[in-house]
Amino acid sequence: MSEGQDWISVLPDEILHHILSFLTTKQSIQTCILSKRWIDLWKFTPVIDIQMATPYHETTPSERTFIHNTLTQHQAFKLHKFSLDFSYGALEDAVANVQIQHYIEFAISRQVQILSVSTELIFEELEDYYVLPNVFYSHDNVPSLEQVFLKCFLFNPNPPCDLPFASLKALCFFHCVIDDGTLKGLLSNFPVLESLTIDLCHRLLNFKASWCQSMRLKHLVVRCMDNPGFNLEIDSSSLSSFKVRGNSVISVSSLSSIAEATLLAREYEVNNNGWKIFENLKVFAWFGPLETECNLIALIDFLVHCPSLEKIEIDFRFSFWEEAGEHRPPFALERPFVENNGDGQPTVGFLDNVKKIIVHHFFGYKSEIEFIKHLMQKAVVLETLSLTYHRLELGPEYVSCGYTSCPPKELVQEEIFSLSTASSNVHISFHDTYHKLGF
Amino acid sequence: MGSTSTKIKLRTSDQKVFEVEKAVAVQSQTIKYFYENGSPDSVIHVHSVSGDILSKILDYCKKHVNSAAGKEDISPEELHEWDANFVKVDQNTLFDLILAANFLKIESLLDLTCQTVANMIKGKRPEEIRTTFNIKNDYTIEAEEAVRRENKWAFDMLGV
Repeated sequence: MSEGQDWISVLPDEILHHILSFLTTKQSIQTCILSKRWIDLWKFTPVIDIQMATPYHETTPSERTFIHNTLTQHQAFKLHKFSLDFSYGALEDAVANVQIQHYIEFAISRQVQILSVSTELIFEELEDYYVLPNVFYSHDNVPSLEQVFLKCFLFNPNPPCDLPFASLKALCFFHCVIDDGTLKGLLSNFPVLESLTIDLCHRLLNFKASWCQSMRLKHLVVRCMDNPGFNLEIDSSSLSSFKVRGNSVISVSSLSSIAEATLLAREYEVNNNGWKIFENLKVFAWFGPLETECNLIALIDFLVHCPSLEKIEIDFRFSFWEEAGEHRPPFALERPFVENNGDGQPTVGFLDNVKKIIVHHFFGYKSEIEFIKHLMQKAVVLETLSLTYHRLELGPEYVSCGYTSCPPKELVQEEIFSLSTASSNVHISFHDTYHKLGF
Repeated sequence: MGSTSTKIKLRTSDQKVFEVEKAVAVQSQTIKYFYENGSPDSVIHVHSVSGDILSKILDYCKKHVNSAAGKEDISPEELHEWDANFVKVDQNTLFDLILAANFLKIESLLDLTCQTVANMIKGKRPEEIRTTFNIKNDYTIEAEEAVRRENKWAFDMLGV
């Protein structure tokens, strides 16, 4: 091996294009100055990655020139990925809309596989969002499109979407303005969609997983925090996992294939099929408060109907607000709900396969300990219980409002390690973090 | 038994012969192609790869096959760390690995090694990149100035 040898410049072009595709487009272009070998390499990288949006800061003229020159000079016939993040802010609407149309048209004309376009939210008014240009739907030249991420776009009703997106597997709408009818219409055009994310979309009042007519839909994420009365139905038979977040009413039906579920919601209801639908659920994550006995009972009831469950992940981060402000008496876990599936039939296999329980934001409140105690008494093959104790120090303004600190670590730790366990081989790991609230 | 215990014979550029489990060897699309289109007992000649490099690459394939098949209890984080250590090699070896991964068509290894090189470029000024890779600047002063002028739009702008 000789020192000082230039190994990189002798690589074939295609490999250098591949290396450059891991850089931002700006850094990729700057390699043109290295030596003559590098002068045109950036123009053929299969990835364009331009990230220039800072929140509430509009794209400057020099940044606009950068985008323009990049797209004009780039010469690859095909693009693997086109990712652009920008905000036009105060530019005339018409001008900005023409620019956005141009960008998306560029990507589509290069038979892009992964398309990600984010505009930044500068305006508060939904009407001021940039309109998703119709050129997006002219994908008949682009059977290649596999993944789409769109942020802050307004979808016009009745989009001219005549042909199915034949290869689109993953779709994410983030902060978009789209109504029920438009979304429903669009979702009939993705026959092979596997993953769908509807994240904080405005104007949406209902969502049914079955709107998506793909028989391959496996993963669904829905987050709708602010839409009042938002109604969600998870009624697609092909799903294997879903994540839901928001103050929505969720209803679930015919989901025998579900293997993974994450819920962050205050209310949920289940259809007439009862709880049998979760018989294949292996991983369950809960990020809700256990503010009332009712919630805790509902949660345990839910777990009773998941006989295949292997892993439970709970985040108690909301307990603090529920527990620390009120001096409620600890509630008792009694009654038959843990032995009974609601039809009067005895439950078999409650927590029988659970190997791992992970608890985040564990404050050590009574309700939390009761819940864990209960799980430990039932989980016969439990291998790991991992707790992250979250010690909160309260500023005087909280104390004066009547909030009380959570129990001290040593006490909580002692209580946890002295719990009786159904499994003979449990490893308990106890970590702690610290957080100061207030001044 | 059956296909899991089938071995494939590979001969390297320096005439070393490796006997490799089929599941491991076919991580390489090139080897897979030769295996499926040749007689099963024949030795596949990976003529542009040396024994040292092939041996490293087979370690990589073995690790990934075993972890994917659940034969080895390794978390995604641990595998990621294993990968990171795997590419901690001198530049000569790193670029040999890239060429071999490209020839053998092992996509994940090509991505890993190219990403490693990209990380060595990331955040550096042109002069620093030249030093890192011993790239000789063959522009004349005037030519370099001209290239810089033409691409001023990409050098001036901050924050992208």
